[in-house]
Amino acid sequence: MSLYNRDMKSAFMFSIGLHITPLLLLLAFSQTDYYKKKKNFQIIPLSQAVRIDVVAMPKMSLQELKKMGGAPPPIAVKETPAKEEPKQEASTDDKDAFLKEGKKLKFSDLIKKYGDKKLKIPEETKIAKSKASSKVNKRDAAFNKKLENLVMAGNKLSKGEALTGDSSFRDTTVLESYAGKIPDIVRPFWKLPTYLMNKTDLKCRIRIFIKSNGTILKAVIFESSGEKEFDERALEAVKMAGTLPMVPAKAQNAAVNGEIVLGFPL
Amino acid sequence: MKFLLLTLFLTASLHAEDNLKIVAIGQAEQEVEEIFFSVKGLRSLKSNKKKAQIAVEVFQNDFSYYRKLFKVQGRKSPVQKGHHVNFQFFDEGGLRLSVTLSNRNGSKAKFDAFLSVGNLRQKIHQINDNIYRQLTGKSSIFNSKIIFVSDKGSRRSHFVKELYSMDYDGGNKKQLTFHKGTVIGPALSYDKKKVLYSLIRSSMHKRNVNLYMLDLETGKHQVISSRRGLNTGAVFFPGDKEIILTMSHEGNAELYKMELETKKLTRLTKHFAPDVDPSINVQGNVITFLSGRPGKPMIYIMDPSGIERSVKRIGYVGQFNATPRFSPDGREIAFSSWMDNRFDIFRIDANGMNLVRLTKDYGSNEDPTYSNDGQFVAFSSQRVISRRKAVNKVVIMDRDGEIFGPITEGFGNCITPRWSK
Repeated sequence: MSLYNRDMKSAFMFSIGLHITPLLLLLAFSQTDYYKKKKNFQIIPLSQAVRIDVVAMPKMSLQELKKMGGAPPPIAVKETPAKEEPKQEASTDDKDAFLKEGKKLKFSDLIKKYGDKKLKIPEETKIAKSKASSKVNKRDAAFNKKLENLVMAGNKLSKGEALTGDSSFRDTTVLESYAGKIPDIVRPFWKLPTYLMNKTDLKCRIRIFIKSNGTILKAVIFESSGEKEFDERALEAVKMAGTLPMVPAKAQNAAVNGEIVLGFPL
Repeated sequence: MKFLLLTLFLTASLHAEDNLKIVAIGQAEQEVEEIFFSVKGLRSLKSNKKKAQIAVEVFQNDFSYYRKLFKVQGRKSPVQKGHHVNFQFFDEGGLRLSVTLSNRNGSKAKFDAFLSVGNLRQKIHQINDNIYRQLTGKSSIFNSKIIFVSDKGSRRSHFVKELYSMDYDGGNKKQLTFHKGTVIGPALSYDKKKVLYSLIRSSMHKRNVNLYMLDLETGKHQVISSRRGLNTGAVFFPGDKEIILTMSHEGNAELYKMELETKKLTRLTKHFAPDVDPSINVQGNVITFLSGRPGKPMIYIMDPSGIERSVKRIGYVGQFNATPRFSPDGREIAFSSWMDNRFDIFRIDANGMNLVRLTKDYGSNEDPTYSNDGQFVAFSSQRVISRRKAVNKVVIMDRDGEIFGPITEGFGNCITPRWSK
């Protein structure tokens, strides 16, 4: 029995043919629109739905919220260094006072101390106490300011940081979190004239190839909306955005290979 | 064998595409489009110069309301971009205006009009509406009307509140009723030909609030409902054949539907708490109203095709809510609510989400009413001047609370505006 047996050879060729045809068919089928539509991409939704239970009427008007802009108000309270200095002194005094006290605390001393009817409070601790109380006041002021800012911020929703989606692949989450940052950079340039705004069912997807330093090497239309100007506007938005943030090392390979696709609007 | 490998490789590379991550950018922002506006033939005019100037002003004022969509530029554009509107005036017996609209795609539209003193503003509004339709494919507010109640002409001894109508921009004010009584709660029909209102006559022995209907074409009014108690808050059903109103002849304020021809009544709400202030969407399948069911006045919606059908509570907050009004598409409800010792206008989606405040630090604001395109809200704003005196004005803002200003300056105290739909 050798391979050069005629029957065997023809059977072998037949088998090859049998295997290749479905492959070719699959290849052809994969190019059709039907297949493309059926593909299940991992869509990372940009804006998470936040469920809020309304407990009171909003204090701030929509105009005021708009003026505050996209970024939430600074919650961290900035203090001038001049103010901070006395604070630090107070704290060091505090420590010294306690240290000194600690040094003094011997058993015999303690007996002597509590034996005395008049309790002598060392002056240093007095000062420290008064300083500490002033510090507390300052702290209160800072806290109140913080609280005020928090109340202001409470009127406003900030975007959720978490990304949903199928994150069964551990190493893809780096890419996902990086991709999640892109919409905020591109969106300011994503503008449409009125007649295109009225057509709500248009959808364009753009595949971008990103260099490790964040420059966009290439942006190509992955799925056209069918409306030429719509596609152009989407491409323009990507180009106007210019450079993106540095790509984290783990995601560099995927970013260069164009694994990120931007959906306009989805 | 090579071929086999190649095919395998190709399929493998195809599979790699499955790993693509699609990130949603979100809805696009509205781009502000430029309109380059030019006027020709103004200098050669003789007697009609003033009219022509008014026409130009009306154009600029109209489009200034849509400043989020269009920016009107006086100068000529250096490059071929944006839209171009050209007003050409001719002195031909009267004043003839020819308006051309062209844009970069080369599409052109032309509108002609003869302008006289009587129809000047109306004609320009019509032309502007045509231009707006060409640019956006939607209708504008330029042809819309607002009816309102004003105490103009009342003396200290005799206090009256009569019904008036005006263009949306405050021009062309007309008095509609001459009852020498107090008109409350007006409503304009969808064809802008009929007005419903309730009247309190000070001369009447028994004070009863009756419902009247005024035909704007004939100028005649008739009593629609004069049952004991309230007959108020009437609104037209789309189609103008039926109305919904609040009546209290059965003891408690409830909503009823009435056929205008037969005066046949259908009860809509049945609850021991009062239900008032209905407002309806353009489809006519949902109404919103104010109900005291929870103990405080809160906003509800329901299906007006049956009694207590799919009643749903929308609002859960606010010390005192009032006058819920549907946007034409029925997606949003604007209402006023008591806060910080005054009323302010708020907006909520019809599903109870996205509650936002629209007015703040602008007097006490009540009675919101949506424009026909749903982009603007008119309301009455009260400024307290002294302990005894306060001034009410009708003010327009856009649906995000950007205020354009009062349109009834120096016209008495104006309240309860209703925008034509």
